[in-house]
Amino acid sequence: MAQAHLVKGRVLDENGQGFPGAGVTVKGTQTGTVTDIDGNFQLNVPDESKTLVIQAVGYGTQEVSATSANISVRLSPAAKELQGTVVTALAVRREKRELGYSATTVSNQELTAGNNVSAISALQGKVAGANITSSTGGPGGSTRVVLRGEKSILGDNNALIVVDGVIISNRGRTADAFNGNLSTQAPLNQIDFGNSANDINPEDIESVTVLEGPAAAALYGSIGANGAIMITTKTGKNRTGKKKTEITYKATYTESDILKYPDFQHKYGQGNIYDGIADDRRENFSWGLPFDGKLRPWGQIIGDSQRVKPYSDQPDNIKSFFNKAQTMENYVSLAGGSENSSYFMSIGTLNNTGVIPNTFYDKYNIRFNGSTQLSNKFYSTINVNYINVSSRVEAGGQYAGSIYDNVFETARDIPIWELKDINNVFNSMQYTDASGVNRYGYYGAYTKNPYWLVQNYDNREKTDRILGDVLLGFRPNENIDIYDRFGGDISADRAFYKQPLYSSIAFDPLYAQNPQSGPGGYEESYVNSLSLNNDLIATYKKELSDDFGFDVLGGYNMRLSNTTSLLSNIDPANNGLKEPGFYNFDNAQGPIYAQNLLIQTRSLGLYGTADFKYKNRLFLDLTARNDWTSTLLTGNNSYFYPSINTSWVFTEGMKGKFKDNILNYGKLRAGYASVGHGASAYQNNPPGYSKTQIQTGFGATNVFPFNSQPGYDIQNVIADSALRPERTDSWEVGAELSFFHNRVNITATYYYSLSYDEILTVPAAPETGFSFQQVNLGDVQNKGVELTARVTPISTPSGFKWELYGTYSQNVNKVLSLENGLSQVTLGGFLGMGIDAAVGRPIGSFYAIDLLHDPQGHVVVNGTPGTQTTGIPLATTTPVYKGTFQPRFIASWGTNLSYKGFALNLLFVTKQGGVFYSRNKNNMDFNGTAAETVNRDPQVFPNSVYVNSSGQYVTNTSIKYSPYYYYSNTLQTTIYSQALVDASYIKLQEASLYYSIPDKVLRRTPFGGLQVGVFGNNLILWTPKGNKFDDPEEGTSGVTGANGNAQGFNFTARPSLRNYGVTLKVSF
Amino acid sequence: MSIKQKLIIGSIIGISLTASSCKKYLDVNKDPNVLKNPTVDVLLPTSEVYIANAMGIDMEINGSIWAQYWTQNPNSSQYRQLEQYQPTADVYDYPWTNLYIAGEDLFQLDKLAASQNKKQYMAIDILLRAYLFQVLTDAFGDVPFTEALRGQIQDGGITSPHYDPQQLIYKGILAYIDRADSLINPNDPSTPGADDLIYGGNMNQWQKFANTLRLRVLMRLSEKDPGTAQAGIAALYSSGAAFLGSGDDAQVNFTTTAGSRNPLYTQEVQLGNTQNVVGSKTCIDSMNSNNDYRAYVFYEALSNGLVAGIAQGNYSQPANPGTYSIPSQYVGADANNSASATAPVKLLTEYESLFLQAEASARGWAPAGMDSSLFYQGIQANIQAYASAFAAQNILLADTAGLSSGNGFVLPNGDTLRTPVYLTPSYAYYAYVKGDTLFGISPAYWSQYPSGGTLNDKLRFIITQKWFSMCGNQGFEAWTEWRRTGYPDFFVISKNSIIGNVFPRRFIYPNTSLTTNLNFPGVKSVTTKVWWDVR
Repeated sequence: MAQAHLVKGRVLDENGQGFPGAGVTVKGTQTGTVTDIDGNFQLNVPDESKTLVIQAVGYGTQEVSATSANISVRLSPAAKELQGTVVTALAVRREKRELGYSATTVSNQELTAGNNVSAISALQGKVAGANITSSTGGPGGSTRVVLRGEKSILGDNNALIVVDGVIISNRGRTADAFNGNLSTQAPLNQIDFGNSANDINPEDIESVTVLEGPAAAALYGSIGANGAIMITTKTGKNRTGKKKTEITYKATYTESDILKYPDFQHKYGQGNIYDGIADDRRENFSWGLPFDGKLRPWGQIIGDSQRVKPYSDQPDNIKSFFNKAQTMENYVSLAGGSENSSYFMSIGTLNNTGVIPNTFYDKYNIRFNGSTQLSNKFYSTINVNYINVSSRVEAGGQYAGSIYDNVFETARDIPIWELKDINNVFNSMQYTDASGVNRYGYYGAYTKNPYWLVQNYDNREKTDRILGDVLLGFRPNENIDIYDRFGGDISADRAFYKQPLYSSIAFDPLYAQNPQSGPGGYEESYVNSLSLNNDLIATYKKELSDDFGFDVLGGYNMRLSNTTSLLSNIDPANNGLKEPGFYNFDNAQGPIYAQNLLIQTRSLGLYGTADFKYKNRLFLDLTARNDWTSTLLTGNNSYFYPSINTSWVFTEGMKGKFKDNILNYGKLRAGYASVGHGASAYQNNPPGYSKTQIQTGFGATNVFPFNSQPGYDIQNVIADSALRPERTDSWEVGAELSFFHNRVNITATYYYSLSYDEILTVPAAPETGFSFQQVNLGDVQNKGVELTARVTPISTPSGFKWELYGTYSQNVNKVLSLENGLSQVTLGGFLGMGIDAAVGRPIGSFYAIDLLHDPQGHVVVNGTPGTQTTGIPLATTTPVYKGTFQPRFIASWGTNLSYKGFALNLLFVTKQGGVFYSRNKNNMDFNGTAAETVNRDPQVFPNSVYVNSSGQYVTNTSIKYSPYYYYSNTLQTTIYSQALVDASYIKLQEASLYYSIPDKVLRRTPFGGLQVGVFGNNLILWTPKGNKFDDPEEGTSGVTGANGNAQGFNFTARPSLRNYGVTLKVSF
Repeated sequence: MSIKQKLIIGSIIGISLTASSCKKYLDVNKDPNVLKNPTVDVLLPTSEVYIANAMGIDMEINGSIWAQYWTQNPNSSQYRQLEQYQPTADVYDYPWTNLYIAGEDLFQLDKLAASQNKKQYMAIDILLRAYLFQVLTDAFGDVPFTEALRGQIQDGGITSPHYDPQQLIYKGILAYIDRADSLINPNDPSTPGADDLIYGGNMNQWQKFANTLRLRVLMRLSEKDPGTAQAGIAALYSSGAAFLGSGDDAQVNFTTTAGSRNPLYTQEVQLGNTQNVVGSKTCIDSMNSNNDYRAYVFYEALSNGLVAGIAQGNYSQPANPGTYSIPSQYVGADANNSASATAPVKLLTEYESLFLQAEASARGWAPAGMDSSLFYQGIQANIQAYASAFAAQNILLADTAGLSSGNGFVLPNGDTLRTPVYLTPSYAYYAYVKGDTLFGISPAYWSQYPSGGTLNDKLRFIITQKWFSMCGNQGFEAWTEWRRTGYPDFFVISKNSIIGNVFPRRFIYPNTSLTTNLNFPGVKSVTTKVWWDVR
């Protein structure tokens, strides 16, 4: 037995604080330990060993002499990001310097600084190349993350989410109640229950590595073409010294309110002086008389009484409807281990009440991660996460129960708070009078009491989900490692939707023609999904000499996904409830609708990689994979895709002052990958027949069985049984540089990708007998740059440190071609306001009916003598290109200041360029509540011309238009383009200040660490002058699948929230 | 064997086993969620209800607005574009799509029925296709016909069907009817039953439908190609053809059962029970000035007992609810009366049949001298079709003074009654045609058939009467006949026309075809006439 001696030491972070969880190994052996909570370690070191290797996630690998018995190691902040290991595809950990592609790692600390409840949203501003859209910014909302641009026109563009090596499902829970089988309707009636990638608790995450490009993720196939977000969860640490279980408790309290309210006009109140009753008490129009401040009756006359209020602006009438949201989070984790095993357990709870009365979002996460060395040669790990989510959310869009429609349309002088008591007869929607007649006393004939809506329209979702993996490995010697990882993601999502049955006539005779009613509806939908993934991997690594080594890996993958769903409803569009208040399928007027689906896909894959390294400075990495998918016919269902990456650390081996003082580290890299992807389940099947449901403009009118006569209808897609796999080819080049004693770190990447043979379901001419058609065409190109810089201007021995960092990403997306002859594919929007993929334009271009312009760019108004000379702008006959939702660039700027126990973080994010559709603008123009409607006198349309009788354009100086007609009619029925708003913004994305009690003080307490902090996320928004309406991040299209590609569409979405709070973290 | 060896061998076996069963493992791509092999009796009712939706919603609304039965309610806004005579192309997506979907289901049904030798299904199938293609071409002019409905690879894989000239489509429709004639056989055991929602498989009625449709199709050519029209109609008569008569209306019936309700009403409910269409002055004033009690059937009386309309297209003039009438439940158009759910959608009616026959006789293309009688039968058939609606009106005919004085009430036939008497269909017809001195009702102008007049005089009366009878129930056909003949001759330009002093003459091509069909022939103006429209 070799002689050994005990080495004690402490690992410190850049601030001089003890660094827990750093790995300390004896170089060239497997002997090692991990630092404890205070950064201390002790290790028996064989006498012949001279060097210890210190490794810490997010930092570099450092080597220290093992000769002294007491060592103190300060981790170098400069090495952070640039060196060390990262998690790559298949969860293989690799030296960062070896990679021929871009990979960004975000540590737990960076991820959770702003206490964002979504681990995905928390990446905002921290990863160059990522376009992250957080539609609500609050608990339960949806988050879309697209890396290096949209590649698929009609498929999912979200990055692949991988947790501990297992691909997890990212299901959009955005629903359209009662039209669930008609996903195209969803953006107009959206109920956003979020997406399942947000189920993961950020506190459980050790680190996130973002593999931006296909080269990095090639081994995952085309789902990897979208890049991958590799999440590594926390583990317990093997420890050899004193056995102590680390217990951490964290409590966080957050308040949220609406980040941006639209600008309202404050001059005119309820009524319509233009073509209605000037002071109509029923109106949702604020096209009334100017405010005079005098007392006036309002609302219905009920019996002999009526309410009275001053006729004046209520500046806060909209704001007062919304609550301050509150979120309480508790988190407890235990980490421990022995020599041969370790475990990590955590429980996280999140309880939220929303800004809309009665809404809530509750989430419970339980995790167990364990690992054990079964014998000298076998090892195993298990990671299990149980998630329970339960929420109630409001509907957006034009849904019958849409809160926003009814709140934002409130006339400027209506005191919303006086409507709160829905039992008060003046506020009632359903009031049974003395003679048994159902009446309503609410003031509005065209709107419903929003307080009544939040009570009676009820949309809930519940999820139970288990995800995790077990891994069994065999490592007979240090060259060979064979393991099998079996992972699964099993979830049960249930949604329940209630719409009330009611029918009321008004008390007031003025309202005689304005009954209020709803047929009532109920829906339950269950989605059970199971996805399993098995990888059997064998690796062999060999150092052939001091200079040359290689790793090879071979693997075999099986994947399957089964989704069963059952959706039943009593559809208010063509059915309804019999008795009010009873939400049960027995209580239907007609046959209930039911749809059950089974969707199965499977695939097999064989893959291999070979990595070669030379002198720790030149690296070459080859990968190859072949997949077989169930979704294509034999002959087309096998596809091969390779990648090649190389990296050159040109500073390695350099010596001298230049390297020591100026360029400390430099690496150049290049990568190429080609990836393939199958179709969706059943996509190539010839059309079958399904139960007939006749769709007309506003829902299904007739549904079979029709008077008990059954009927079937051919499916509406012309299938192509010969579909081929989709392909994406891409390459990237980059550099990683570190200057001035690692005070300045820069990475830069340029990439190009071409996606082709896209599988598209495009609209077909209805005269073919079908509405859609499958094609295997369509080329999309993305190219762009990514820059990251991290600078440390000040770092003093006293512990004062100032760090700056920033990212910049620019992606140019372009549709190169579509189906032969077809120039446009619609992704979303509505007629006259399409969000399209058009040849020569980016995916997601707005095509809208616009103001007609003359060749000089003046607006042409209706002024030709002999016609109605209204002075109103004329409309283009067809929709024209009006911009895209794609930002021109995305950038972020952050700073960290730390001193002693204090740490201050600020992070700003900006997206510049792009437009979005604001239905709030459209509605507020209609209702005359928008600030821009305040100038109401007939006026000449700015910069306008008209066509004279001989067909020439004449400058218009005299023909005045009616702003009322323009806003309430023209913009509503023809010129939709005016609801497109500049989507640029700057946001204070995160701000936080933490204080950690110094170790010295803590030593006399039972605490191992104690930290308190205040934080905020999504805090402040700056928008350009053109956007007086919404946070451009809000959206109604959901985030996944084809609907998710219709971004920039705010059809009255859930509002974006500003979140701020306090947090306390203690460890024992 | 060491553990290591076992593991390696195990892995290899694992891989090879899976490789051998790889094909089976991957064989999960047959969609279990759809029916692969339907039967004829589930496709026929589907097609019929699709046609009823197109005819009952979009064709009826647009037809009835441009035929000046209905106009946009000033207190709502859904159909303002139609009153502006400048509808956007997307307005026509649904009727176009649903008619072609009906066509596709019929196309597949025809192949299936042919393979099973179900000739009566084939006959009905081709008659429905003849009907829907006439509607399409009458509405839009040139439309895809010969290459339409063949999107699937095995049907030709035609994804951009050519638009055929209307003239050719009319020939094709006549050929379709010829083929139906050759297939119809009431004694064939393979007739449909309740799955035929129109005639319950009664092939005699389908034969009359075929004959009446042929008469309609030929008559449409009266101005453009009178030779073909005359020859065809003469041949039809000489074959002894029977036309739709009493009880033969081709219609789809609806009930109050959810999902089986009148589609127009269902759509109104979907729009929040919004009453978008109201009575037009054009029709209501002419009915009122003719003492036409049908005003009370096709429209709803106001609280003062009168029926009143709004000037065509005058939606920007505020009007108090309660000052104008709305179309009634009997045409499925009262958004707040659940009885609208049961209004049928009429495809081809007895009264249309009679007015077509009257015209054929007046033109001398059928045995002459029958025109006057057929004209009156047409009016009577129309009133009879809505008999129960008349009875339900509870319009008191008695003079209250006479009843309360105890002197009783003398009926036109001389009988004296001492109890209140309500409007009956037969009285409505009697008063309309003969007048009633008791109440000071003069015979209606439009009921005095000019037997001795010129052909134009006669056509003016026949077509105007046909127009009255189709009020809100065959609006598209009435507007189409106005395009052919120019009658009624008292239409007014919509107050909100933005195309000046002209009427629309066609529907414009739908947006979906414009954006997807590579052979799209170009946008047509709403004022461009279709081929047969030469007036």
